[in-house]
Amino acid sequence: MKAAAADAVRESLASWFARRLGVGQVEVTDLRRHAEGFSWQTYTLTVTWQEAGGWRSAGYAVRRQPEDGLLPPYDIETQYRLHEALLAHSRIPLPRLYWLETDPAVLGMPFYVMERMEGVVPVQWRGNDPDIFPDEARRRAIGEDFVSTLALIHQVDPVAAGLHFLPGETDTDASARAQIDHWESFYEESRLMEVPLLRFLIGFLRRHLATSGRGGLVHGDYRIGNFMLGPDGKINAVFDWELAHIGDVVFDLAWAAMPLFRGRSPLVSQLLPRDEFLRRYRELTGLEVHEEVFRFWTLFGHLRAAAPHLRGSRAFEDGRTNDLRLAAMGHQSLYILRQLVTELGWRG
Amino acid sequence: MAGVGVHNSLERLFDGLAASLREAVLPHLTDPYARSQVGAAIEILANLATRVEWRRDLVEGLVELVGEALAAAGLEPPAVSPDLAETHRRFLVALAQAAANGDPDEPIKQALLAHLEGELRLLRTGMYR
Repeated sequence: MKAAAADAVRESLASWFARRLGVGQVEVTDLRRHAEGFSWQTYTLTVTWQEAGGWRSAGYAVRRQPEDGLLPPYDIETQYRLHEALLAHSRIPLPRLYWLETDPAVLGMPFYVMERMEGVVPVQWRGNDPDIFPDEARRRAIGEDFVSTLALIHQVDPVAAGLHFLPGETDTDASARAQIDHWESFYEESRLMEVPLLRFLIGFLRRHLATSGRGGLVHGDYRIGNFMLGPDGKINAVFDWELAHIGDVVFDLAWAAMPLFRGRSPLVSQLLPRDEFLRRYRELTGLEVHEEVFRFWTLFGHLRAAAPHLRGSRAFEDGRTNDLRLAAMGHQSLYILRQLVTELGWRG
Repeated sequence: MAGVGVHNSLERLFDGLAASLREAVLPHLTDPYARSQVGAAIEILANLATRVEWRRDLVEGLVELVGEALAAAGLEPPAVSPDLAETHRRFLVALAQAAANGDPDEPIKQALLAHLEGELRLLRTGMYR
């Protein structure tokens, strides 16, 4: 973050927190913009203020809606409501939620404020980080926690939790058809030119629909990179719920196992062998995942993975950004297509 | 010229590369030699932009590949346009349409694969490599 931009954000947040906390003045320190993603912007900071009993300070995370990004449309109120509902109706590890600010005057776009979590986020391009994975036993323990947390997500009762505002439905065939339609439209809006393999894939998915019949809350982007390990080594937060919907829960399993998140490892999200991942999931949820269903969602996952890459190139082409990472997504999408033809059995 | 396949147009790439170097990199450089190198890179990009285009032989290869596959599948290939990008677009559309039902004839399937393999052979880098 440029110094001038950081100063402006710090100043805006200091005034905003002072109003929210009902105090005269606050000091904002440790302000850091986390630049890992391409969509939502996350800032962490420490806020210090004076109360009757003396000085107090607390750590917060601010999640700001993007002006533009790879996965539109963005709806901060839905994100906030989902987070709030999951805190009330599940044991999914999530940060505490404090405030929603819909006025764009403060940070240029709406944002919400959560508890700042302490820990580390394992990411797919550092799957051998010795601080996170000192040995295989530790990797396995994280993997087991990863499955248990996914089971918690899938055990949420969407009706009891009041998740009617999420897209999708519990009829998994209908939901799968709607997902294909949605991502076909997304592809249409994003591509620079036709990508014949993706056009083939859309038709193939429609002809070979295979779902589990187990409809429920789907995280939509559950994988290495989207959870944090706390100081005790356990998952203490699951992030990035912007693609959450109601649909076939097997999508989350297939997505976590995508080659995209395996690096050079054969392990699901670089954590567990696939058979063990599915066996443990079955023990926790009672769902036996059939191979054809897993394959259907894996193939669908390639459409889901490739389309935002195309959108990156489109955003760059349209001059909406000069972020070169987005221009690089065009050729990166070719690797996803290579994984697709391997999954189809067309390539060794 | 528009983007080609999954790639951005060269005009936009050169503009964007120069803009990113000027706005996101240069302000953070204090070493005079490093600044001069970035300044020169911006100048080279601006002047390359008026002199290069995407490789014509690659589009000609696509025309041949897709044309043969369509003929083998009993389909009519599109007309070649004097505009390179337009020809590229037409042949990708034709291949996509031939494959869109999700159960293409073998020649179309082989063309899909050969087109991808050709693109992959040109890659030198990439985070998923």
